[in-house]
Amino acid sequence: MDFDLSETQQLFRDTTLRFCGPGDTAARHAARRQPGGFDRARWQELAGLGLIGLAAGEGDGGLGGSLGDCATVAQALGEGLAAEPWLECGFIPARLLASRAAAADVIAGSTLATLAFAEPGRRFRTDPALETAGGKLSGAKTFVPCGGAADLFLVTARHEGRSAVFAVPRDAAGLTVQGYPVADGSHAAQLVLDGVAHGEPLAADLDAVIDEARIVAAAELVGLARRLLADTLEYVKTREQFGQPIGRFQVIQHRLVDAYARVEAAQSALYRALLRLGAPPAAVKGFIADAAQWVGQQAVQLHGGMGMTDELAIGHGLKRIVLLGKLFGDAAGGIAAYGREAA
Amino acid sequence: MDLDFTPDELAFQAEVRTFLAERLSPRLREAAANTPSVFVEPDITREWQAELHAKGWLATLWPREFGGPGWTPVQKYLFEKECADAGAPALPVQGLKLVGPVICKFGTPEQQARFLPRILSGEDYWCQGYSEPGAGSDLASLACRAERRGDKYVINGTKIWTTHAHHANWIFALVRTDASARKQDGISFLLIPMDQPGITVSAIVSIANDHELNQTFFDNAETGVENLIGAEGQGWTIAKYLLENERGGSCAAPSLLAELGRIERAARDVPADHGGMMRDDPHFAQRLAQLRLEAEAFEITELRILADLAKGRPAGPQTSLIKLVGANLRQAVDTLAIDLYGYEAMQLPTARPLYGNAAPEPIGSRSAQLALPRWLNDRAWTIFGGSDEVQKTIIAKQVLGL
Repeated sequence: MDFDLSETQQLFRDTTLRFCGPGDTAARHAARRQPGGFDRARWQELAGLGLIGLAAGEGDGGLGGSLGDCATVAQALGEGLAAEPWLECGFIPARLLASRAAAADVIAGSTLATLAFAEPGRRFRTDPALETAGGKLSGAKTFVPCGGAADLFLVTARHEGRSAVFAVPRDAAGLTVQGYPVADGSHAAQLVLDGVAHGEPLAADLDAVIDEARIVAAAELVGLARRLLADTLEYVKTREQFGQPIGRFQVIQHRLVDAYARVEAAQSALYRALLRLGAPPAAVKGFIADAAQWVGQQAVQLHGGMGMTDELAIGHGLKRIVLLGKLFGDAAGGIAAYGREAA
Repeated sequence: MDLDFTPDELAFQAEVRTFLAERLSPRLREAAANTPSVFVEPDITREWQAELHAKGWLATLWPREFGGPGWTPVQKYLFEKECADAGAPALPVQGLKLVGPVICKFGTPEQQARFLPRILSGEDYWCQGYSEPGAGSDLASLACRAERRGDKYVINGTKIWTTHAHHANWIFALVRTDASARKQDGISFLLIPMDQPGITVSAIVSIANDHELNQTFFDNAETGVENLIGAEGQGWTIAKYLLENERGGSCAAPSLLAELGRIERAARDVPADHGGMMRDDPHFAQRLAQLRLEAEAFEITELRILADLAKGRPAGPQTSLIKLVGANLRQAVDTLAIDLYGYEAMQLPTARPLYGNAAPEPIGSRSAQLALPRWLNDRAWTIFGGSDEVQKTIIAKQVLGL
């Protein structure tokens, strides 16, 4: 039995943390001011480190990383408060595109791809209502992650009686893209497809990739919670009120012990999910998201007014937590589904 | 024990309702409903303030001699409740609810004559200078100092979290006038004009992209000695009076119940993942019911304090309970909203305002567009006006005797 990172994982973790740097908010604001709220140069840098290739199979031009390897990177991105949507535009497209020619450009960072799965009025459902008809796609997608900047949309649709995914370039005839800012400052998009021609569906199993993505999201959530806890511990040791660091007050100590306990539970839940033991990914992600959001809220509270400002990393971390908490279903839905399954 | 209102009170309630129906314009209703920040912008509040001022219903916390309506606590409650149900914009508290009552109680007749009418008319817009970067929960450790020189005070230092300082033409501030005294004893309460070269206001943008807060810097700023409230060194006593007004001077439950009502109505039209609507989702319905119970109990807690006040009993430290419970309840209601709207609650517009012709188009409904900015801004409820931790300490010491 061994819960240590492998040598390769440690290498990827170190690389990722170096890429993140200090996670300063000035760099994040600068990125968000660029078209589509996205920094292309940083993305290329991330791709150049092999971090997108890690998620693709060796036969598909990637490094063939395991889910555990990918979770290691995601957790490090969380700890580094990265603004880059590695999960949405790296991991998921690499897994879905697999051997398609477009995968090479995604791995190289020159094509920004994203999964268009959510549909208006269908809450968190991942089974598409949009149907193919005569080689064309017509309908609407919403909350397409980083859709404001994406070059390639992986559109889910019902095709020949089952869920399928089609690659649709941004400039496809009949496709309208409308970007809008979301919780973490990135620009999601609404898509309107009006008779967009589609080719062959991708070979990958959509549901399996979404389940993997839930685990990777959970890993980033663990990283985010760890970072916010660490920043808050640092703050309460240095912030003085009533003639002493506020971390000397028992009420603060106990709150942070609770936060620590929840972070450790989240880490263990993540490991359990990576070992494919126990609960389905949606439930594990829900459990971890609840813990991370609580820790994030405490981080804001214990930073006082400073935690409410856009200048500190704390708020940016909390907003990413909220967004990941909802991505591919919220905690209530994921945990309730486990309840029904267990019964 | 009864909750019955007298015929006079019921007639008053009907009068308020009629007034709101006639005078609360669609523009004001829209602005109030679509403001995700804690405070409403002054161009909106000025208009509503003028309506209430014309009716004599503006300064509900002030004695009648200074322009208050002379209402009983029950009338104040009924007024707040009707305003919440009608969706009226919240009024600027700094002038009407914070410094106004202070000037009524501690001000000289000259100060009262000079400042109170201009608060009522909206001519003066106030901000509050309490916290400093080094003095938050430990407010008494504040360092911003005022030095008396002839007929002026010269102020140096900084204040933070000065809400709407970028709109204000006056600030009321706690300043240190005596560095040698015990820390609470060296504090004075000073009124300072904002429009002068010695004052700089620097914006602080919130995690929801709203600009309500600022840091205000004083570099040899000046104010006349006639703008000292009370005596030098009396600032802490005045500050405590003001904070108790801030914490307990309003009725929060009606707006919470009104918001729960709006969420429930919205939930009837939000499809759930497993068929039916979210209103019928067992988990959601239970959370909604739980919050209703808490808000309903909270309404009675508020009424119990009002009833005490009506009988001439002092409000005292249990106003901390109102602040504590109200703040947490508000955050729980906001959380229910972001959990209701699914992905639509993840939109976080950067443009402001979210009302009027220039407002960005919402994804889904306007309520969904407001859910996350409101949730984020309202994290401040458990921080401002004395954090949860401070309120609990006050209750532990002063109410529970620990």
